[in-house]
Amino acid sequence: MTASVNIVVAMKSEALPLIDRFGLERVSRKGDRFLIYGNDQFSLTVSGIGAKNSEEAVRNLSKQSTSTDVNAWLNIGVAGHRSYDIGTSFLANCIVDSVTKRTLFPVFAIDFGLPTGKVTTVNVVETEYQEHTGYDMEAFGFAASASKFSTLEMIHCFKVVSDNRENSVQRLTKKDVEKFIDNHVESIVVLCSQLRNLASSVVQRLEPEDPTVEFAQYWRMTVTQRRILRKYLHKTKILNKDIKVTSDMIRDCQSTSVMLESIRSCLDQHWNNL
Amino acid sequence: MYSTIYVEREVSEHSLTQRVLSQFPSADKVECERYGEIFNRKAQDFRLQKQRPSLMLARKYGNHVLPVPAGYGVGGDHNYYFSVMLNCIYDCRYCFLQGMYRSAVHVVFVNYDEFAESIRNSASEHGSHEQVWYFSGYDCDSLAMEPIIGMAEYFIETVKSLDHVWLELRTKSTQIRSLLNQDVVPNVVTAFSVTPDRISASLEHKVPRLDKRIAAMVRLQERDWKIGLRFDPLIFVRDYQVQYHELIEKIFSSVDPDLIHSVTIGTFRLPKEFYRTLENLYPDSQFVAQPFVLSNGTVTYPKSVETDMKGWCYERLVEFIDSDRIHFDELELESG
Repeated sequence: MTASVNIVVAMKSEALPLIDRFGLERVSRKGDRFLIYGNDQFSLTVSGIGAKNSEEAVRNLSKQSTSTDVNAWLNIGVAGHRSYDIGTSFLANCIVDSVTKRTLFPVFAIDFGLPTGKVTTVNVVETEYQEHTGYDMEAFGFAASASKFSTLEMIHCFKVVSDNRENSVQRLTKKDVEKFIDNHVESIVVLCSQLRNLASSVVQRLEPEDPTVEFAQYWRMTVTQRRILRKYLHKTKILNKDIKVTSDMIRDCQSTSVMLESIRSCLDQHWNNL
Repeated sequence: MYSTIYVEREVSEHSLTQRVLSQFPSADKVECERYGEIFNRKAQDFRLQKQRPSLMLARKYGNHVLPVPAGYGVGGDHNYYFSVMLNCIYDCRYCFLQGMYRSAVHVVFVNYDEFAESIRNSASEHGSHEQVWYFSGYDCDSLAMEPIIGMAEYFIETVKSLDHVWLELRTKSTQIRSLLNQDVVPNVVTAFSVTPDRISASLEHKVPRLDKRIAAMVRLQERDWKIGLRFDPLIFVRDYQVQYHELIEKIFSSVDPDLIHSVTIGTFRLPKEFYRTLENLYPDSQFVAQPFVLSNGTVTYPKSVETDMKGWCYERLVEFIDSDRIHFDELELESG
């Protein structure tokens, strides 16, 4: 059971400064649809441009995790903006799909200490910048897909303004994009650390291992009985009445139902000071 | 206090919206169409959000006033509740709101006028000889946000001229200034939920200390405002008799029992589904991990614990308060 941050970028040029700074190793093999890099705390995938690609890259990256892992998700990339200066960075507080008008609202459960703004995900490059919003091509697909694997507090989009009315997107080079991200790489490191802490706080809530495994060696249990046992064992642990498979009250039980009843009786002693 | 404030576009120019926003000039203001876009979404973690809740300013459509659940009340002929706010600034581990809502965002419905109209309309359906009660603290704390949203002030004004209408402001807060700043309104009861200090410290996060709440009760009594006491939920601990004895003694060493409007007693109880959510949100909580029993779809204490606690508290309270001013939740005490 681990906590990690999954980073999704559209272009290799956005990925390079991050791969370098986080010391990520290539995980994907030749011929895989998406490039994936990673270490023990972070994974990064290059989705290609567009919401659909981002959506699929998230789904693909989620397969790298086990069902008990808790992942935060971060989309990093450049965006156009009507009024923000070139090189400005911000976190999305509202993500709109320009076609369907569906909207997602990332939740700020901690103070990331970064400016925030709206992002509109478009399916063709925006050159008019008509609204006061950041224009990108991935955020909505990314966030909608990531919300199937994590909660909204742990899904965020970090955008660096690469073009605006005065600075056309047409003149943007791969080197420019790489530099825009590189200029913010230390902010991104802090952000990733904060997101990982959030994910870790959720991991800490979860039980690291199934306490019924040892019991299952001695008693045959139905799925329901095992679920009840797990619940009882959790309660006994939290209430400091730790019960072991080797304890007398368990060892002497003749059947699974008697064993469960015995643990329930132990729990019910909680009320017995009346 | 709030760093993100969501505003429904429809109420962005509303006077209360503007008033609230002006109190948080550095907050990030995010517009949305309907509060449900944020509040009702799946994939939310109530516990994470509770660390730093956002505020939502919205308009409530319909169902402004609803009948209370069975057993809720203090002896009125007709009982309703209304919720201009959803969720609470406090973080009490036993609270049903944690199980009921997906989001910890504080939603404030700014269209008080429509709530007030519903109160007047529903009250007019009953005869003037009948007591009609309106409870404002069902989905939130009635006074905790008063300096920001002025809810009590508005609805006190609403019921002031309705003789047969009573308003209960249920609270754990000490935000009574708006009451002290005006003449007493006799059909308003400020009902303080109370638990012993040690229980409060472990389960009622961010709630003002009992001493301060008792001081607030005294100040209201001094100004002839009616107050109530809500021993609801009673919380079982091994030495609950010691702790609740101290609590009751402490309250009545300062508060005049003869001027108490009403007392209610109820034990911890939650709908089964809400409790399951709590188990998932707070698996590390000793309170949540207790071996509660399931009774008619409600997770609660074993009957013997419930009866003993209620009976014991009733016996202590009746030393100070006439029995006709003490009310129980729907699980009736067998013998007085």
